[in-house]
Amino acid sequence: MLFNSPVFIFIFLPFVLLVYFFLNKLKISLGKAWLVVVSLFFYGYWNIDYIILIIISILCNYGLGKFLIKLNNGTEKYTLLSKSILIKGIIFNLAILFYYKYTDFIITNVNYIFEVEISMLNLLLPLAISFFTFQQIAYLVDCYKSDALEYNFLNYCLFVTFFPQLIAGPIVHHKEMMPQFNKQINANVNHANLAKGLFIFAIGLFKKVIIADSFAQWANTGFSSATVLQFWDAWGASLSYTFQLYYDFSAYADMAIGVALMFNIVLPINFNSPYKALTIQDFWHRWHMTLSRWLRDYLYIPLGGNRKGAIRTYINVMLTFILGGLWHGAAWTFIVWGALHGLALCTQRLWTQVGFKLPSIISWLLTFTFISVSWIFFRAEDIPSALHIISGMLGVNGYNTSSILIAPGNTLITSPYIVSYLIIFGFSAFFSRNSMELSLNKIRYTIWDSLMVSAVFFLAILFGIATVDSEFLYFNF
Amino acid sequence: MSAKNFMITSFFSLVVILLVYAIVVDKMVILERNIPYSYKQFALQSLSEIQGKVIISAGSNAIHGIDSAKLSQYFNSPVFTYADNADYPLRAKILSIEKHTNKGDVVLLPLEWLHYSAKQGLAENYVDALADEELRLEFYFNNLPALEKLKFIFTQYPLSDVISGLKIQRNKIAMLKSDLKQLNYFTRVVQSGEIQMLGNSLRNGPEQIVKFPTNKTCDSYLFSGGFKVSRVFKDNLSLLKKLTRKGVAIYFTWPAVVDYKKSNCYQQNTINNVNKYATEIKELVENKGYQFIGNYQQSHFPAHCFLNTYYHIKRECAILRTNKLIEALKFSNIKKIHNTSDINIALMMNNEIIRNKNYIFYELIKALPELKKGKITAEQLSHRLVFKQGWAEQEKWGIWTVGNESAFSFSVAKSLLTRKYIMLSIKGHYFNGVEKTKVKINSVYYGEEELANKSFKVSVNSVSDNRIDITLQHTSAFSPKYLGLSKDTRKIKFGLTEISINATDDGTEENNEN
Repeated sequence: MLFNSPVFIFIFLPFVLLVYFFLNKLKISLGKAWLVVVSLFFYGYWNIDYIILIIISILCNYGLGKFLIKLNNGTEKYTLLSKSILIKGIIFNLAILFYYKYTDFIITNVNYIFEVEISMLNLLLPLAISFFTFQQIAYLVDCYKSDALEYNFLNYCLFVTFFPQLIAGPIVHHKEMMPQFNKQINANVNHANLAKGLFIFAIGLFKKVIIADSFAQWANTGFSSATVLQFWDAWGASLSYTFQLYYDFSAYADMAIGVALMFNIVLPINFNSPYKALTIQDFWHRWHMTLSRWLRDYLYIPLGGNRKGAIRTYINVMLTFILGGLWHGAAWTFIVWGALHGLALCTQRLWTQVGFKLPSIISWLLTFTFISVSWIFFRAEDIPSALHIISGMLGVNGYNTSSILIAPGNTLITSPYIVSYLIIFGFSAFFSRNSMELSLNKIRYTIWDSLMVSAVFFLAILFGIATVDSEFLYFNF
Repeated sequence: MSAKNFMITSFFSLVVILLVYAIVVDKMVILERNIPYSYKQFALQSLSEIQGKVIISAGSNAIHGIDSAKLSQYFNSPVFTYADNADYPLRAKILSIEKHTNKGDVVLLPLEWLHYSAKQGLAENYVDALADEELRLEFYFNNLPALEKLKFIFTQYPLSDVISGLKIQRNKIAMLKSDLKQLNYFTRVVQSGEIQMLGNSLRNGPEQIVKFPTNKTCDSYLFSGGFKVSRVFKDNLSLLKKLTRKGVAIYFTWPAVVDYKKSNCYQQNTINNVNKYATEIKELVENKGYQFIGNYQQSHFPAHCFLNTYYHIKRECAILRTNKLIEALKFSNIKKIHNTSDINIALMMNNEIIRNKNYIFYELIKALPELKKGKITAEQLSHRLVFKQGWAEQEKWGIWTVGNESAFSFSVAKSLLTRKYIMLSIKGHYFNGVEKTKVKINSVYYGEEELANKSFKVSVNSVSDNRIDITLQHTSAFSPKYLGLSKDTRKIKFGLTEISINATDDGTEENNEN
């Protein structure tokens, strides 16, 4: 069930909210149990087979976590046994992730290198596996480090399955979720939160159905074009994807935050105008912030961070970003994308150390151009396809304007639609306040806010007809 | 405003927006034609009062595959084929049939294979035709119950089609003229004979289909939707309950398919899948309480029956198939209806056409601008007057009468009716010698006159509803072909070139034209 689908907006969400607050009045645990059940239903709506996997994962991790906490309650912390359990727990989680996500990638490469023909497994990637795996690994590590309390099973289930953030994040931390689930006051209807949640959800919905899905048609046309893209088309396709990805993913985060707020749960902010970033490091403080946080806390710092000398720091940065790239998908394009960002961050670190500084505007331009070009690897089917687009952007294939047709009167780059979209929503990404800045401190509303919300819901219904398969991009990761 | 008011206002403004949108689509985009565009839709509507009729519905396969007249003999009741493109949603067909059937009627569904595996979503050619210039398929939308209409508007009808529909400049007069054009076409269909009148098609007839691309094998064409019964079909099957609740009997049968050259429709490598698929379909249908007539092999034809697609068979093969179907009906113990009422479909259709024509003429006369004092010149004639019967197409110089009786009408400005008389002048010329024309104005006989340049004094007392109806009668209308002058077969006589209107109290014309 997609957040932007009428079924979710007009049936699922209102029904779940109504029953949730009704059950909370009877008993809070009933409300929580209801949320777990509907979250599993929400998850199983795509494919019912996935539910078994997530339930097994929850049961195992909860059991392991409980065991680790019990062990640490003894006199001797960090015993060999608890370490061994943690390692087994991490291996268990990574093994599931690896099996479903990376087996075919390994087979493809083995087949290529050793010229053998091992059959692919062609497994269907369970939705959200990368997200709930990371959340639960963090939980196990914190149990091992005695940073996690012993939570009750229902709360733990809700922490993993809470449907607003289940599919594509934000990647939440047990410490920021569990206390909220336990707060008595959160069990009651809160009109201020409902209204704010609705407002944020509407902004996300607008970003998804009006902006991202429009950029999607140009990006998809460009990236799947059978013909060689020339200068303008290549830039059109690249920029379209750059904005599609931002508006699509941040839309999902907005909608998740909005929906969670309706249940009085505050999810962490995931985007803070990333295309305003002046450096790559700044970008990663603004883009998919909860993933950056996870990679920092559970990968970069355990690898040694910057505590083991300059060379090791650069290695750690590269490793973190390459693995971060691989987390997004099992393909060389993601590895290249991660490596590019790692390299960029190392370069920036080196520049800073030698005292090299660029004027802000140049720095921003360089950062944005780099990000935009690196997204080509993120989006392209394979590395040669990415290089084709980059060569188009460099003018190697010529400078003619487009003849690539998306729909009658709508060509890839000469269409007034794409130009106006790039100008309006490009500038919005660069200069205007983001959705969180617009909404988080909102207390009073105007009639225009109401009209905007209802118009967006209306458009979501109509655009939903045309784009039945309009899934969010981060569902693939 | 407060958070609570914000939510309430948002909710109600959304409801208002949705309502306005639904009204816009219903009243301004998919407008309802006075007369359905398609003959089959018009016939379904026109014959809806008949009790005990049989309606065959499916894709175009049914048009070419079953002889309605022959089946009519078996059922001893009128049989009509209400079928068109198989891409059009079965749901819309079922709902329109539901509206026009009665207790005791029979619906026979020789559905095509694709109907059973149809996926969600509508074919572009269907959606686009709902609100195109001619509103070719508006009938389907406008025959939906209110809730179905809303469901369609908000879950299936794309915004882009609403926008393009709104962009079309719709003119009431043009729409009425289009209705007349369709009614004239329906007249020709009824006159052309029983097969077409009952919804079947003559080979290479007016419904000739563009040459079929045969680069696809028959089985890949028939089963392009796969071998799995879809959710859409199951929903349609449930929808049929609406018909059975009305007392309509429903029977399923298999589609006629035809091999082409070396392309066999049920090939060895797919036959197992076809058998399993057919069994699944049959079981599903029978579990819902409907009877399936015959087996699918009975309607499989060899290549010599190929007309122009794998689903269209030639006329002689259609007769063969109908005979087989009748045998299967007998075998399945499907009783005759014995509708003893003496129903003459042709007469009923003609009466309906005439009734509708009169209505359209009436509306057209009201819609056209009223005539004030002045002249209607040759090139304006068909834009200002309603030529109801016995006229050729407008030409630059004027317009010919065709046949022995020709009638036209118009409405006059109210200001003219304040005087005692309307002075009506007719100008024109005769073909093949001057003849006196018998003239009737508003049912009053004005004698036999030469109309080269003739004025008539019409008493305003004979004018009701501002309307003037003029009938011209000739006795010697011959075609130029008959006279050996040209290939023109129209029986023409008088060429109308100008009409002038004036008003007076004493019968003399005044010259204050406007």
